[in-house]
Amino acid sequence: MGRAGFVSPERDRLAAAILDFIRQTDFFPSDPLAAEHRFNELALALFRYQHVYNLAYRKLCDKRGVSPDTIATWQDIPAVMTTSFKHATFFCGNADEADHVFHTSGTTLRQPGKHYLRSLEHYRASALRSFAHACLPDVNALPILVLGPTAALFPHSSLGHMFSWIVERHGRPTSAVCFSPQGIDYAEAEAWLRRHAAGREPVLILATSLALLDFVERSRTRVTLPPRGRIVDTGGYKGKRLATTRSEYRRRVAAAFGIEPEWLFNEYGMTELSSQYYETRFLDAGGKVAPPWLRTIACDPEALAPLPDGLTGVLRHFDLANIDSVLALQTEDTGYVQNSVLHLSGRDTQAEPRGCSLLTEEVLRLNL
Amino acid sequence: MPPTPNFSDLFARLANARRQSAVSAADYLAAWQQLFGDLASGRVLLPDELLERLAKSCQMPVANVRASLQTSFRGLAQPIATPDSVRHPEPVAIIAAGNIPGIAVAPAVLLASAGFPVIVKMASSDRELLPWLLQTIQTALPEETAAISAGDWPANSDDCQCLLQTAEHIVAFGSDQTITKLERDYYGKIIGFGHKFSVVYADSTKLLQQHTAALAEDCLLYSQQGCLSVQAIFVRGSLKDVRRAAAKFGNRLAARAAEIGTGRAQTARKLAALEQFDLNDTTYFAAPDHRSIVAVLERFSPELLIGDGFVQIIPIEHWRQLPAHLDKVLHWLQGLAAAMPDDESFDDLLTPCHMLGFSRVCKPGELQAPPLNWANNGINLVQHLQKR
Repeated sequence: MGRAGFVSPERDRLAAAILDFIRQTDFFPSDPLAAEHRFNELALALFRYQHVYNLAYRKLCDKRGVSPDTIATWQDIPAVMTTSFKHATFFCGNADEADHVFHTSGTTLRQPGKHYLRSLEHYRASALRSFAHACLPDVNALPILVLGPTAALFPHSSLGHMFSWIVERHGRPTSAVCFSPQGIDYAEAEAWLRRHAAGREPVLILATSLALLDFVERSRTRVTLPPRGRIVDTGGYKGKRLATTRSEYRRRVAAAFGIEPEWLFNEYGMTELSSQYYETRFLDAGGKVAPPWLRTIACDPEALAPLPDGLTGVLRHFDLANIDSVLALQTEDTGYVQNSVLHLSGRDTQAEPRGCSLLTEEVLRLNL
Repeated sequence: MPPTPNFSDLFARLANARRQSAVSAADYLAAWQQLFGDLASGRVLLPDELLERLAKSCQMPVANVRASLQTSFRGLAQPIATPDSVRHPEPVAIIAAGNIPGIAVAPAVLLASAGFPVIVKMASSDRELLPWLLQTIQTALPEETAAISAGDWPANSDDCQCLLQTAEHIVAFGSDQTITKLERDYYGKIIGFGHKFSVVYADSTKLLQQHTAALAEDCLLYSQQGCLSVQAIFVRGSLKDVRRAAAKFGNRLAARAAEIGTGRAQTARKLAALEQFDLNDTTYFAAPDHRSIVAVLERFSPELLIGDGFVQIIPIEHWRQLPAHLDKVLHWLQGLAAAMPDDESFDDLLTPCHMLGFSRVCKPGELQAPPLNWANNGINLVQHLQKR
């Protein structure tokens, strides 16, 4: 855990205002212009704070000749490449003041990136409110099966923390975690599914896409989840054993659990973000939807200049919940944004293992 | 849907055509090498429309594809010994990769010259070059005497599977993942050529400067996407001298990139790398449009194998340090161009380089022009298939 360091009063005021925004803002504001104005105000204030206290970020801003005094809107805030989290510490303060450090997936040749957080407060608030809105608007508590990382077993996994918070907040006492560094506990997961399939209460399965696919391939158990049973997957699934399309993946998973494909929800996030996109039947947007404190623009892949709505480019996210790191992140994921709905495109982004699915792949590979 | 081709019949027909032809192996080879020479010299021109379509599908500028193919043809036209005709040639399928155009041409011609019937499954991005060559060679060789046939059957189609099942040998180019999958599915048949890259060793900064034009060519042809494309230059000299040489080389690379262009698919990765360099105060020389980037690094970085005009320059004290820099990527090494002083011979370098895994060691400017019988990955294809 981090040691207490100097925290400016400015930071505390800003963090409180953003936390309030995360907790209070309507997902469908009655006054969109006012919501946009407030987002812009908070984003510029956060940039001003990060520009002062985040030295690595300040260095990049200086190289680009951008400062809080030279920009007017949140779209102008300089973005940091997510890959740069491998090479520098983006944190407002000394790194040893960070309360948590989340690691991105590394490989033999690629070192992991690190996302430093002074506290988990904003990440937790953001994750739980988004999840409840997107995935559980009809039920507050239900039995949950986790086929993915959890905080206790994977302390450096940001997804692991999110899964744990969801279980704490929404899980019935019969909820179970059947994934560990040793891999999936197939027998326990199968027994859990058989027990709960017989009931009438809807259940929730939280999983990385790769773990879910692995379970479907290896388990002989075929169950029919109770009505309104749902699955949330994240991270991509194209592993070494099977390459398939997203629709084929959905069909296989839905068939294995006896649900309609529309009850298979998808989360899109990354270690460097504190907020997430969701695509669920409840949002019914035909793409992925962000909470009001997360915005995305597509950028021209060559000049990285923002593109108009509907044009495909590399995605740049602006996440107010990233208080002590960097709020503007440039990814290499491609897609377009139309009417605030994100559509991933280009290469089959949802198929390529990302982040947590790479972690799952590593766990599954080591335990084959 | 058209019926699946009868590949057994097709292989038999191609083999018979070669066997019964009055064209000797030497004449067969000579006919092809004449064509390659004509293409290299410009006496025969690839149609502009073909080049444009090829460039588009391979995501490279037309000028780059033209220059790259001309260089490759120059290499293929170099005189080689005629391979011994094989007594019982077995059917060979070649799976072409899509990273660079024309990748199947050399193995197809070499194997056919030895009597092997060859069917090439072309990459979806390169469907026209080989058919055009086969059509053009007909002026010198009667139909089917070429003993090569080509099709663009999709990778997972029944047609493709039928081809691969029928063939006795499969020469496969592609990603490491593709090769691994093929080796599993067609156990014992695969001669695989996966991901590889090339480097340069320049004995001194002076030599690096003398060879800037040739080295720029080695780096930029095929938009740095081929296995013989140079990704890193190891230079013997002080950091200060190397930086100076890198600046000069960066200018030359930018000038050549402006002439023939580079692909744009890796721009986001290039910009990410520049951000990393800004953070680390790494010295780099980037063209204003980022078509070419030269970075001076303390150590070779596998993460920065980017392509599309991105070159690492690493100062070293002696070529014997190469293994220490490349130890994580030894399985990916392909070619090494060496700029040695006149009073030293390649012999000093050849054996250690081959032991390290380099299968092509040559002078700057020659990397991307291997001869027709180049033992890619150290494999003499004709001999290898005969022994199996």
